[in-house]
Amino acid sequence: MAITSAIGRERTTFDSVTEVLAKANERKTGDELAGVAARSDAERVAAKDALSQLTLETLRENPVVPYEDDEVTRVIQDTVREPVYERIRDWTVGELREFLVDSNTTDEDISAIRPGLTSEMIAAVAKLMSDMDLVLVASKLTVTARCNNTIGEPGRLSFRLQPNDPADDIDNILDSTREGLAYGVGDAVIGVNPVTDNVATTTEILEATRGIIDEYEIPTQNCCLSHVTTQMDAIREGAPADLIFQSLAGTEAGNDEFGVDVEMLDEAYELGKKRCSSAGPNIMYFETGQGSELSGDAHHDVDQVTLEARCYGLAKRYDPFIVNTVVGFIGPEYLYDGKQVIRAGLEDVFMGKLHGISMGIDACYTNHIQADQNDIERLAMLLATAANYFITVPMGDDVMLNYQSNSYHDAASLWELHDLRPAAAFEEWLEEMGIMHEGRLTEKAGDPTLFAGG
Amino acid sequence: MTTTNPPNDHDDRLDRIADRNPSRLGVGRAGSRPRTETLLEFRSDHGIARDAVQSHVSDALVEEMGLFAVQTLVEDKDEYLARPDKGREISAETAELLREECQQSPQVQLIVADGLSSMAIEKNIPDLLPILLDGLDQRGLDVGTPIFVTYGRVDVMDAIGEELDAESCLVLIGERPGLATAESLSAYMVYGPERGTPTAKKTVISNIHAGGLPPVEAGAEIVDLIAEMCDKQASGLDLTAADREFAKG
Amino acid sequence: MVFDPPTDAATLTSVGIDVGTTTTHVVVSELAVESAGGSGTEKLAIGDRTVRFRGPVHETPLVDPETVDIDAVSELIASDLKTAGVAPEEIDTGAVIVTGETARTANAEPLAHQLADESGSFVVATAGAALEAILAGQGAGSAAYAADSEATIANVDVGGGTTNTAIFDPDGVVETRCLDVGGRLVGITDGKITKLADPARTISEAHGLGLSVGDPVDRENLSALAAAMAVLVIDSLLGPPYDPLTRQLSIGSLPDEPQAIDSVVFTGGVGRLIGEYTAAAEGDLFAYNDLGPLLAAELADAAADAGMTVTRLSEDLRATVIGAGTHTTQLSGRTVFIKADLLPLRNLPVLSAGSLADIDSGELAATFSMVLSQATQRHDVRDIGGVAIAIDDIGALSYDRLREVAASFAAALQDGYPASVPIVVVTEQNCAKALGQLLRARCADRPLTVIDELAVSTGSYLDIGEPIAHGETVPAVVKTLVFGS
Repeated sequence: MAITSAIGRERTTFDSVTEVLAKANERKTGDELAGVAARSDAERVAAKDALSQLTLETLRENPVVPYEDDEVTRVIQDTVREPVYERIRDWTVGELREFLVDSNTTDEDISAIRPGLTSEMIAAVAKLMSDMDLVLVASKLTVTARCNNTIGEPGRLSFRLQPNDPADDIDNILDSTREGLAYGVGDAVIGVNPVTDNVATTTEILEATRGIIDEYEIPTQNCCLSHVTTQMDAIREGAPADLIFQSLAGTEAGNDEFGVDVEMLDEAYELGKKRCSSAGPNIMYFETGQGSELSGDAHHDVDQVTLEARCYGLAKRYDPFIVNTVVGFIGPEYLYDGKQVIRAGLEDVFMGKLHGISMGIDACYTNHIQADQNDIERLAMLLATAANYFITVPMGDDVMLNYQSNSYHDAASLWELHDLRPAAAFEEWLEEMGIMHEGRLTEKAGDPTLFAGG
Repeated sequence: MTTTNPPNDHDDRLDRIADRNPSRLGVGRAGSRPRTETLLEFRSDHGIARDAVQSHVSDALVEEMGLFAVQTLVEDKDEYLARPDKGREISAETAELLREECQQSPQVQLIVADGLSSMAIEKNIPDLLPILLDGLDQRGLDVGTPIFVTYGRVDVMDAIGEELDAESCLVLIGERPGLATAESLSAYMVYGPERGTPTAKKTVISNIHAGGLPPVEAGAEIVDLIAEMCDKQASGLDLTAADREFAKG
Repeated sequence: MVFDPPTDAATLTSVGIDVGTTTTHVVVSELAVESAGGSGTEKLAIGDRTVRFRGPVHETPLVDPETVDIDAVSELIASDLKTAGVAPEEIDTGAVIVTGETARTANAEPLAHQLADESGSFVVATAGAALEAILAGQGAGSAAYAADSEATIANVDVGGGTTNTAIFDPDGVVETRCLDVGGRLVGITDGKITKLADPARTISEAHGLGLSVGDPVDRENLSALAAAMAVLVIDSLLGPPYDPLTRQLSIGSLPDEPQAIDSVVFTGGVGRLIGEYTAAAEGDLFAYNDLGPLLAAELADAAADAGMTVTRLSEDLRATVIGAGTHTTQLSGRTVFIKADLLPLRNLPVLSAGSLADIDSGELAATFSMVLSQATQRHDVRDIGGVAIAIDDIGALSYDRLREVAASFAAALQDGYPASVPIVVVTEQNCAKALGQLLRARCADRPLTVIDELAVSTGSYLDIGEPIAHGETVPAVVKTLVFGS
């Protein structure tokens, strides 16, 4: 299928929708490493031009991985509500962009066409959008989800408290939890990445986090981010998990690398609906990140933005409470520097919310990427009104995963900057604890000894 | 003047939390922001980690350790970070040079590669390499010309091992720095190196640094593993002992 | 021999068997085990100790004055344990301690081993003078007094055959200083000298007193002998420098550095007579048929002359060993140097070289030689199957430093440790494999094992099991003697 663009000095021809999608991407080292990136800036823009003229129908008819070869494709295609799709199938990607950014287009208007969109369409429009476009549209989309509290309501910004410890030391995890709570974070989830992926550790972490939630009657949810099968075993044995977690990829082969498939995720979801200790109904938590498919050699020569969108298409099947991209974790061979990380973060949050999922972001970086704390503070400021939540760790330093993210401190700064509040029930609790007053930290805030123990 | 909330109250408990916990806890705040000292400590640790990635192993060390120096296809640090594929390969000219200058068909080919932390090389190699060479000698193993690779990835061992027809190959390589330490080194070993050998066929020891597995002890441990590899003619998952968990502490 | 470490029980059933010069008895106790410190270098801590059974005091059966009747002792113990209702399989741990002059009889070590073999969980301790000194100080309360008063206390246990001094500071035993001086070195019956043991004869000759067996009692001469003995005891506390006679009569080596002492506590059969007799006193100075009262009187004078503060504590009992505290099995570091055919090893007494961090490479060999000579002096290493040398801190874990340590240790072994006897090195730092490799290059033929990431100290005993986890780690049980009174 030849697709051409007449923009610029010369006519450019592309062989496939997949090629156009890849070359229309903003520059990413991961696409270059995969050998699918535009060879020049001119070619990049030509691809964007070609893409802008493709219809949504062309994208629907040309999934980047064939329907029969890939269960993620099947999940995405089978979810499309045909009457809605019929209404928009003739739209070009360029028209979709203009519809989204139009000031007269409301959140409800977008929700109305959402069931007709596929992940490839959403990825395509993201590639046409500037950074400001992405923030503008993501900010006007409201996606709420409910577990023990409600996340994503207008005027609210939540945070995951991530009290990881390099030895899974429960006392250390609880110290870090207390400190985070004292800064007002933790309304999205108190979620721990364990070093040791087994049932015993998972259970111990779930019981400890559940213990402090119960003791102080905190309106939030806990989660231990071990492999989904480990969590399922722990839950079957009675471990108190409010959310079930799994990392997702945008292809069947990528998920195979993670040791999961749709059947397993379906089983986890069904188990969670019956056995999770939370009120629900949204009980799933997923993490994603551009480049993970390529790192597992499961990318099918597809660009990393399109594959990322497909993760959200899969996640949506499980009506998750929260989903976040771990945007800067993967390394400079996929996202080279702060600029690429910021762009990817904006794309991911936009694409997640357009999918209709409760989207957050782990704005982060490793020490071998060309970025520093300023880059992710900048990303957080850009997304404060667009994302449902951010990840926070003590002073931005996760000593277990060996990377940096936003700090506990950043939460209150972002609330202050944008006049935002935590999730309503959580804010009320913070007021009762004397940590927050009228949306600002009190004098007492920040002191972990507010909570007994340790 | 900012409103500060230094950890005045419950000092003892706060101190205990701050002391025992590896995370940066009990740090207080200035308004909603970190206190200046805390902020600068964090930036300093990141600066050290960045420098470890960006700096180069000194020629003096390469010379002192008696290493034969070559470079991968990578031209500079920026390319190194973006192109792992180029960090795994050497040019035809370099391969030719190796064949001319280095021992052919050794039992053990030893490689030191800068990887993501030159500091890991500078800090650990002077204690690790001598005991490693001692031990390999004690075991009567024939060790080839030790090589230093600039801009090397782990799998450069496959290319060099293949070119020199080595029976087994070892690469000592700087790990991605964390804020806690920028000096951590890994050792990857493979029996029968050839291009494209999957990671599962490699034996690894990680977390080698003064605060983890001490470099001298790692050197002696590597001797045992290489001897076992050569004895059983296997490495990685193929070697029964390869599923051992080495990282400690 | 089966390696059968105690279970993870929080309470251990422990048996203490004390075979003394005159008496033998058995105590069964329950010891509460408490964990102290982090993993890897976990130190043993025994909390509550409850005596469950205290056997009758038997006279130690002797075949002749030089030989303990091993079979008779075994029978006594077996019968006591039966009375106590303790089945052998219930016993988690225990200690056999052969004390006093019995420990110096020809068959002391075989005795201890036979008793120990009857239950493999036993620590064997043929108490030398040093352990006697510590037992005395523990029992008399000097150790506790040093801790409470934050002072340095010399507990001078003056008995029949020996004077065993243990110096305690608030943290525990500092050192021991022991002499062949005691009240029963001279025997007196019916106005005549009936016994004059070698040390007494030596002192008599050195001072030209001309005493010999069969002489009628000459109060003046005997007082002079007692005074000479007292001076030697005080000299041993004050030195160095030491009187040549003090050195000659010392048991084991005397410390090379003087030790400031705040107060002296006299204990033991002779020690408790101090204050009851004075040198000038008339009366029945020979009521015990020995030199005890005279020696007590002279000691009081000599201490006063030296300006020492003498403290009396209300307790004056000899502590007894009520067993061995053991912890649950610990694992060594994951990289060790072992000769698998040597393992398991059991009941190796530990001698610590302490921290080497401040010791220059030139002095390492001397340090190791000293520890090894202590080991061979205190223990018949051939008979007990080896010793463990602990190193708390090697210093910087550099290749050069480790090579120096290995070379010095190999040299010290060469000089003073039998080549065929197992030797275990235990380091707290993670460096066993490296040190082992370096040692192998220097003493390839020795039965040597190096394990790491364990904290053990002098006076404890070590069991090492066969390697687990692909030979990367060994289980170890550290036992320490537990004292009661």
